[in-house]
Amino acid sequence: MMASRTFIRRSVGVALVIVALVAQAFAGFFAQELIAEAAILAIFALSLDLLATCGLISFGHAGLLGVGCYVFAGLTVLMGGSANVAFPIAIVAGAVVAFMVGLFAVRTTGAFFIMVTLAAAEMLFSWGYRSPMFGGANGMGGVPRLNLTAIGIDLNDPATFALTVIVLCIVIWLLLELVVSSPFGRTLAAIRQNPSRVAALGGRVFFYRLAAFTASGAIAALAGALKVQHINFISPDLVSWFVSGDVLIAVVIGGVGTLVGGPLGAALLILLKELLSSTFGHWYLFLGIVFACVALLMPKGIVGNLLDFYERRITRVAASRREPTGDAA
Amino acid sequence: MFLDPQFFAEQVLNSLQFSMLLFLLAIGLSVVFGLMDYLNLSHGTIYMFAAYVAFSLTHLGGSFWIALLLAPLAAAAVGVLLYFVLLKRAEKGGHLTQVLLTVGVIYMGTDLIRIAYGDLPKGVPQPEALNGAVVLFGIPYPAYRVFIIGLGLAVMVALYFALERTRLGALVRAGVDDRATAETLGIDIGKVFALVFGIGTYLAGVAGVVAAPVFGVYPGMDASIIILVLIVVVVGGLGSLRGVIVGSLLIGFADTFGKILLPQFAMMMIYLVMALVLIFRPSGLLPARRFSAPG
Repeated sequence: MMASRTFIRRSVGVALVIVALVAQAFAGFFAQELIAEAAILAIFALSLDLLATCGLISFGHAGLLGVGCYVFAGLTVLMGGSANVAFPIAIVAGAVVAFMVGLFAVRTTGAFFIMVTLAAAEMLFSWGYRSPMFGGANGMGGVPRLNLTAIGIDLNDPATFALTVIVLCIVIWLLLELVVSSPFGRTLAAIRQNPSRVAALGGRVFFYRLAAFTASGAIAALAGALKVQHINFISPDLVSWFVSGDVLIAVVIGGVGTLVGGPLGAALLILLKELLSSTFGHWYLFLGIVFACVALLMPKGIVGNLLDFYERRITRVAASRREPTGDAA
Repeated sequence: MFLDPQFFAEQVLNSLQFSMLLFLLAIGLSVVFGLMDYLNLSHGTIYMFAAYVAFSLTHLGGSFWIALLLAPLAAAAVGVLLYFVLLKRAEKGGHLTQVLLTVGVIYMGTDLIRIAYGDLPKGVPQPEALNGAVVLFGIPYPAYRVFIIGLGLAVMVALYFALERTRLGALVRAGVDDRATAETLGIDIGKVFALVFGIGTYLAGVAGVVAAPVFGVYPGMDASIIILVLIVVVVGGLGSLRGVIVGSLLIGFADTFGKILLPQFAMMMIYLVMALVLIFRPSGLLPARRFSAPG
């Protein structure tokens, strides 16, 4: 049954990739910006969902995104460094910061982990808000994009940038699919289901959680470095708890712990916000209604409830095969 | 700067006043969280709603005291209605579903307020009887703020006796301590919870009314305070009155003194306090029970 869950998950992922690529191929100028925004949020959502694999829910993921934003912007704009060098450094910085925060944070779980991660992120936010170097609350412009002209790619073209971000998102998704099905990933899933049992079997829960948090931080920082490149701008608003809330909501809408759910939720959230804000004046009212409906009708998220639906059907079919005459199911 | 005792005394009073507001908001959230493990982010929306009701009442010529009497009742009515119509359905859904649902409620609430009242901040006049100043510790201090401190202390004492000395209090403590056992003994925790939810939203309403003259009334006032309230709850430990008292004092003082001592890092102070508390006491300072969060 496990295999079929994985199969359905990956099918959703492939379908989403096809939709994204087709949309990108036919999109106009403005739609390219939306697609790039959605793809960056999708990468960010993947990093949050990796953490959810071991049962930890962060409400401060914007902090790790922010590390990528500030390191990338600092190295390029303030220190005049090359974007191509700054990009990997930003990712490593995200991993390092996540490791250091994780040393304390992953000792807690549940609501307490939510609050500790929130605290860490809000500390970065309040620093950024007051930081004169980065323009404080007003932010700072002039963040350059990666320079890939050597291989014939011009990232200042919106369509090329959108496509590049989509490809990056696909690569990260595939990597995470490998991670999740590896022994490491299976251990993370076991920790989510029953941490004390894993500990009793000799599994080092703390180190696995720390590793997941560190990897998650690297991916979040990558998303952050892409975010500031996309908008050519950095401001503390990128680190506020609303951003952490947005990505959390994207993952919950798509389905926690399903990997493809995050990107699906991210795409839907961006699309929904765009549609609602261009149609209604008071569009947050409708966004709220949609959130409430998803929470009540699909509490496990779109992909999560889809998986449950198929699982029930498979169980029913299996049961009817065992007892062909009865209606035991 | 701190050699000046007058300045120091004034800041202590400011901290106390802010702590009392945090306390009024946090107690409902903490007990709901402790009793039902329900993460209700829309608690702040009730606070905002009460503040707007108070604005309407005073705007229509009612006195502040009428607003203080009626607005919290309206808040409790809306809170309980919200609970039975929407929130109850996510009781077994886990924290994430509750976050999604209650963030949805926050969005809806904020926009409904915007539709009804517009985007601009509104003011609620403080009661005329409290316009003057009171001399406390040798310094003149606004009477209205002394009233907030007194009200907070009175609610603390009242809740202490309600929890420790009444039958309902015993039921609540039993439910927080071990829900399954309490239910096995025939206690209808669902009913207790609805009642507690009503009292909690009533107190959030009280907080909204008394905060209105100090901070003003504006859409989004809920989102700006709910994070602080959550921090109070987590620092204090879930479900305990003493925890909420200690938590709100700690955060109230950290916020006020952080702004004076380290204006650059004012917000950081609060989060630093919380991070330190949770590193050394992962369940908060005074939790109602040794809470082992599901992993």
